[in-house]
Amino acid sequence: MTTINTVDKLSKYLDKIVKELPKLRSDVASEQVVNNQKMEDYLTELREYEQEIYEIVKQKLAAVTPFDENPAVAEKYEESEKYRAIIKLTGKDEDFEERFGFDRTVYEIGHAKDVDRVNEVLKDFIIDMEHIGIKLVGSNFNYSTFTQRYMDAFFENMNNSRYLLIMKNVFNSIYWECPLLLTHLELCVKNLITNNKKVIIRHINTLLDQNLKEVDSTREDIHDLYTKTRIEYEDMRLYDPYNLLDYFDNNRQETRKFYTDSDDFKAVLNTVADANEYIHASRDDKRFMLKSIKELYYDVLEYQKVEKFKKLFKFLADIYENRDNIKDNLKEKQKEISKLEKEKAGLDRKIHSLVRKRNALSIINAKDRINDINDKIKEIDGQLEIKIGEIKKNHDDLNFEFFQNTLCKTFNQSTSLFEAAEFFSKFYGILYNQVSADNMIERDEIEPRVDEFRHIQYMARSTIMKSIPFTDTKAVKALIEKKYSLYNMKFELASIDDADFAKFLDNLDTLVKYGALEESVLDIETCDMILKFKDYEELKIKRIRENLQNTEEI
Amino acid sequence: MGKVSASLLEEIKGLSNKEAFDIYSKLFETIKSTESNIVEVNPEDLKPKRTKRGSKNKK
Repeated sequence: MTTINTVDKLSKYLDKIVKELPKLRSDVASEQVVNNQKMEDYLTELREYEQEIYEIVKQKLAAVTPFDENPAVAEKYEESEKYRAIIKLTGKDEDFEERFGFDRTVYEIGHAKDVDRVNEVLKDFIIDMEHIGIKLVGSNFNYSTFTQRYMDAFFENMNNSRYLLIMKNVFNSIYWECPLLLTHLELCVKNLITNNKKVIIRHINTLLDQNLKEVDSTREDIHDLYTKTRIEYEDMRLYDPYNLLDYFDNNRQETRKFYTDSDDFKAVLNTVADANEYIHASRDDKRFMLKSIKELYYDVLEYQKVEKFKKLFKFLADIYENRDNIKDNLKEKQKEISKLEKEKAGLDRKIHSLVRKRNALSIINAKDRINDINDKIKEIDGQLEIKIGEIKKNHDDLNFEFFQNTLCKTFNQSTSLFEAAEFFSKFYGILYNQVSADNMIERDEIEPRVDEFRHIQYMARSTIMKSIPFTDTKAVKALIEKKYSLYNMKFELASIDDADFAKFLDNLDTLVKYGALEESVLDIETCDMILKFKDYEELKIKRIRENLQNTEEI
Repeated sequence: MGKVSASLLEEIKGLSNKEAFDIYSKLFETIKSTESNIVEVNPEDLKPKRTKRGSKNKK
């Protein structure tokens, strides 16, 4: 065998082996044994080369392989989340429930899908109130005898690891006496929040000021600071070499679309621009085109958001259109609720008095009298249930009227989609009901939808939604198409439910990543090479494991 | 078979990443092809075929 001391000789030697391999197959067993031995000899030799060269290539590729996301990306994310948490605390005093998340607490108690969720929300509420400085005990939940009973058991067991199971049994035992237990609890918690309004507002404002001081910002500047940081984070994440490589690792078939001279790339680019023009453009023009495509991508994401929630925007627009017919009955409604609450308190007192009387009687001598009292209690309990139902209805009506009135007072013709979404997000219950009213939305999708809508106010890239009036959702599509036609980009936005839309968005996503790769220290050839080397390493490990297993079996 | 030539390894160290990877890839693929060409032989097929009773080999 000739000495292999150059790459050229090694390459030719490998060609020779590959060429010889078909000839080393024989139908005659004895010949095959000889051929096998020859191939085993080749393998022994080649593996020795492989191991030595593997070490060199591994070292070379290690120098260009990003092994982890730049820690600055996660730090930037944490920073933007910190600002977002502060933004949640901002707002008017009258929005204090929403600022502290209590709007959701109240709604979830009244509309929970399962008992465990009710108990979790109640526990969080108790903890939150304690943070505010209000230590709640069972007697604070004396809205009705049933809430009192339930919460006495709750406080007794809330630190038990099996409290969810225990409370399920308690709920079961009370439910048959009071099917409206959740409504009682909802109104009870709502009253506790309202009764402690001043303390809660003071706490939120102190917390807000402390947090603003910590990040050296103000109520006026925090939104801009968040937007800036969030965009920086999104870009850092997008351009991070590790993330790009990770994307290719998880989407191996996609790499072919990233070779500029490939038909796949041209096909993707042709969906928005002229690929040939791009290929022959100057470096500056190419960069401008890719920058425009990135802007288009984020604009299309906004279009998708507007389309997805157009029914909600229409709901707001309809109320606004009808503003002349909406009367301000808030004071009357509040009076009505106070009146009903007083009547309820009267019924409560009657029951307590009857219970005291009953307890003073002897079960032996006054059996008939006790039965009379029990009948009376039952009758008043019935009246109480009706009263609580009325209070609940009036609260809901008041909440909706407050929502309508505030909308009509604060909205005008130029209120943007973004402002409208921000406003609607403050009314968790009404938003939730409105999303649920859409028959096209599955039950399991309601909550994520509500959360997604409420997240619009934290979308850092929201140029369109901040510019277009909330009554004009239809304008978004045409405006995007028109803007980019001025950049020589031609396309037609399909409806978001259309498969063409998903494909279009997918293509834009590819082009945005292509643009990121162009700005990165990596290139697609290097990515492909790193990933193929990774595959080889995995095969090597697999082979070592198999050999070990075989040795153990022997 | 001797050790891998030091001059070969030195040359590979001096190659670009792509060139070094290409030769490694070629080597790896050749190993894979060679492995897949080895055919397991049934020991039964290696035993001499039994002749018919009464053949001229039988004394």
